[in-house]
Amino acid sequence: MNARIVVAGAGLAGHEFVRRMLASPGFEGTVTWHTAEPGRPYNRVLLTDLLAGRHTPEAISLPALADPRLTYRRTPLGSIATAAFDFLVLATGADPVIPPVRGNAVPLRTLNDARTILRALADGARRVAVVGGGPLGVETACALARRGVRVDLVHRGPHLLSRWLDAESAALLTDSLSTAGITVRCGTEVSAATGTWPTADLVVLACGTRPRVSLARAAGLPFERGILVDADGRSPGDPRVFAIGDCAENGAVGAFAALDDARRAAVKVSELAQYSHPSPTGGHTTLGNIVPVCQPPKEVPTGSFTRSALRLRTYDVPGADVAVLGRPLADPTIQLTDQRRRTRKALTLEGDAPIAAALVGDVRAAPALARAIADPATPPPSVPLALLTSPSLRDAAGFDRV
Amino acid sequence: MDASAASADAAAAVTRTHCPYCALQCGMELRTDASDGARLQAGGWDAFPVNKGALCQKGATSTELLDVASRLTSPLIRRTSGSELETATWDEALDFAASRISAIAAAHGREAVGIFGGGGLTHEKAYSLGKFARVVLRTPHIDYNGRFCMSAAAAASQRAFGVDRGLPFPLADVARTDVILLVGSNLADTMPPALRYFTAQRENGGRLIVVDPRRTRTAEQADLHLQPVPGTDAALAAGLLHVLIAEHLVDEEFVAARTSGFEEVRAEALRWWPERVEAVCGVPAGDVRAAARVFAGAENGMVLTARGTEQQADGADAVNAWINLALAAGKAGRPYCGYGAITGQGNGQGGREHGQKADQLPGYRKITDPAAREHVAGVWGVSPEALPGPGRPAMELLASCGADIRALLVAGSNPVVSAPDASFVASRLEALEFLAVCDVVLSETALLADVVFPVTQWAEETGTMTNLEGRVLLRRRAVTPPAGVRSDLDVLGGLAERLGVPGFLTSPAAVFAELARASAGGVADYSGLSHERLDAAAEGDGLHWPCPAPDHPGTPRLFLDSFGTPDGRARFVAVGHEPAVEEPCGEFPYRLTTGRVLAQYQSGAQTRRVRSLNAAEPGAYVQLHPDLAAAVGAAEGDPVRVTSRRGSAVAPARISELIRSDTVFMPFHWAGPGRANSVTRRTTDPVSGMPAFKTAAVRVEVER
Repeated sequence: MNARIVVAGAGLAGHEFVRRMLASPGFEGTVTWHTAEPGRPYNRVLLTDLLAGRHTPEAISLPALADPRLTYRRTPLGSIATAAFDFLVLATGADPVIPPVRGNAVPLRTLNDARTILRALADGARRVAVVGGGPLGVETACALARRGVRVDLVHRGPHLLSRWLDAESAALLTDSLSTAGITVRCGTEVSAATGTWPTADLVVLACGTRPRVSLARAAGLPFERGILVDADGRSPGDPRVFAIGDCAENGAVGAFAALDDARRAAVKVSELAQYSHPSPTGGHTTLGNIVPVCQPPKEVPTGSFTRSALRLRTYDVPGADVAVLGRPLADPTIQLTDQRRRTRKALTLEGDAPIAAALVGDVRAAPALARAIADPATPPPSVPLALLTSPSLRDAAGFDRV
Repeated sequence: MDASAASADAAAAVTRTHCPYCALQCGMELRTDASDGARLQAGGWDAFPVNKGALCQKGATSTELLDVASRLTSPLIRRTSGSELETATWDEALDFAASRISAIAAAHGREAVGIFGGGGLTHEKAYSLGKFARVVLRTPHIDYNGRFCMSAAAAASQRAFGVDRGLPFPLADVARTDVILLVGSNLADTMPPALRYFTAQRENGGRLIVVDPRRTRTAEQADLHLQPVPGTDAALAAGLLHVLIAEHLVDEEFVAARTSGFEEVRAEALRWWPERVEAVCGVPAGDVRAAARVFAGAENGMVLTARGTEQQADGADAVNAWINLALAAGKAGRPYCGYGAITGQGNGQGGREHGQKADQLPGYRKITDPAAREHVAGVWGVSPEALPGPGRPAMELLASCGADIRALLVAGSNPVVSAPDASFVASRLEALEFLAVCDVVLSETALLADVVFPVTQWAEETGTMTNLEGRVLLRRRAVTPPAGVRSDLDVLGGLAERLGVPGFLTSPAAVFAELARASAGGVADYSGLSHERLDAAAEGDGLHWPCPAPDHPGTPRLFLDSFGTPDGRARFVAVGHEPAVEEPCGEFPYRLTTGRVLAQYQSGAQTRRVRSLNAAEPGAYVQLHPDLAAAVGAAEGDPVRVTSRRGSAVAPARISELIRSDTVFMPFHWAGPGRANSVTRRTTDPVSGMPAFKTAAVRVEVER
């Protein structure tokens, strides 16, 4: 088991893969870990925490992985094409989508981006526009509002989180954000080219991401939006190449999916590496010389229950909690709306089986719903309504919940 | 007869002693009730500080143990393999056992003989078993059922504090702390007299947070109940720590002054943001935050763990994750703060301090430490080189029975019921060439033996115990044992003599005096203690170790000035969380977790023979959620079969909303078809050797 494993990318997925690979029993190979970003690998999920003032940028580093079998290389992504491997794991992440901008705009994708924003805030930016009413936009707006910054949240869709929530739920969320000092404007396309540009000291762009597929494309590996993979994260074009995290196209997005992808891929690579022998030709397989086969991808993984579709981190902004489980925008079978508390819970059933849910304002039921929807072992509830009302609210009584 | 028994007899009819069951070691007064045919009755001992006169149902009925009909009063021998057990004289039984042990050691080496002890044994017995293994048998192979009980917490405490004492403070301190995080303990059922301190704590304005997959009677008392998926505790603890870090609630001053290793733990905790914890553990992120804020925000706080978090494949890591939280919050090393493990067995604490554990010598010394070996060898009058090295932890020891372990002596334990994957364990014991068991009754394990020695119990003998607070207690003899019964110490003495080591001590007071010397200078230093001192009226409360001199007052609170590590700092231990080794899958889609009920104790060898306890809890059951019951078609009371990769158990359904719908619960006290341990797995925690009792993937069916 002396396989050479090359990993490209040091985000959550890459780090988790390397960590698991090194912990894999009996692994005697080597891991060469390439990253294009400067500095230590860090936890991208916590970038919005930085804006909320919870950590210093240095503190969100991922645990250091020191191991004699591991080599860490800071290299431009393109140079990975010539790295010899027995197994290659692409964890190259995604690029932010940037509309035509003016000078004071910055995306929030990297630690450097966060530093730029923090510097602007330190330099006196008091009014910040966040462009994009998707998950990152709402989280960023909440983080900044917690910090006491005046936030305009501008979204080109008809309502916030329009790919996740129906209009009624989004309206409740919008109300709650407004109360916290966030001005929400929907149906507004922002572009320096067309002349619509917010008035603000700083514009933060949260306009979505695009998977980085350049390495796969150059090597002839199949991709659509992201790199196509099977349930283990293997490319259908070459069984020695894996893709995990945001660069992979496997029906799930976000940090949970990234960690899950890394776990599955590490299990598979460990298994394969156990039986692999050094290549008889001297082992000079690189992305530049593989000859991908053309075969249709195997079934896309259905996902484990940890792949809740959306779970926002909203920094205690009252009423801003959102959880979407199962298929987004499914027609609700049961709906509970509390206009005064601005909470809404919607559950979609197929027969007696819960298949989707959307929660706004009160998400305590999220873990139970996540299991009921995605874990086939969870028995169907005899009273589906109870899924929305339990766990029992008495736990909350008298406790400092927010 | 020793001094304390004589004084008890002189005082005519009232003996102050301690309960035969759990780690509280409640004080009780045994008196003869003339109205009930002069039977001995147990009542509370009001002045004893732990229970202040309260007894649970088990303690109150404990005197029934003294005259159960099934009491063994004669040794038994299985003369040839396959024959029945027959009564024999003591000399016959001792001769037979000694000759078999000698023959096996001669043919296969000394290491072919092993000892399996128990956490309910007195110090005198536990210590003597350890000495017997090292000096008489000269085998490294001795371990005990405490490995199934406390080993994860013990290993974690050693790593964090350099000392392992269940509670580093008196139990009464619990009532005076502001917040308690109680993890994996159902003490309202398992040790009811302790509940008063938790009730008092809440009456004093304190908060109780309970972590348990089931809504137990203990969880019902809580201000906040976190209900995680079994086996995910390390992730939950990391999530709470994450909140402390994110919200600037870490006690940086304490961390800097009194701990080491936080940076690595901080980095690990930042991987566990509350929403991720929610996805992994099933605990709402808001509850994770609320628990962390309340715990960190209080002036004082305690983290207490028990079997729920410890009996896992990552038991020691999970406990260290909870300790990390206490340290980061600055809740350790000062009054009304700290981490404690709620010990299970009567002498679960003391049983592991004086050489019954595979890797230890008396005084909680490491058997690999040359200085420790020299000291103990000196007390024992042998050369340090003659002492064997470390042996195997319990599960490994049992698994090697019938392989390189060919003879085993069992005392104070019933592994056929209490060990995980019990069918496997029974098959290993059956594969031995020779099995000797010391017990009070013919337990399920004794039934497999070649020799059974009928031994004295609790009120029939004087001995010492250390309760969950590190309080060393004298358990006084109250009655004369039945004719034909001898102490385990006599068994060891008789065997030692026949195996060529005469003069093995059999008087409890003398054994304790030797133990005290052997422990001198060790972590658990008992050298200032003696039966006489513990018997003295002024010190009826017992004394907390360490107690290194006859005039030393004992140490009720550890760590106030410094922790037990070489640099005096508590250590953060960087631990991760891996999913349970056995995740549910298509064939075994649910989780089984096991535990205890109020009216029974451990393998039930004692309590199943007490009428009122048996009436209260006559047999095993399967607790399951109404939704799961509906899914499998089970009605209340239907026989339900719970099956894992190892085996299955059948017991009546008890349908309850107090458990998660993806998890079933079984108490493990029974043998036969309802034996929960037929289903559990023998995978052990690599750090501590603790088996992963609490999580097994199972399928659930109604038995038609």
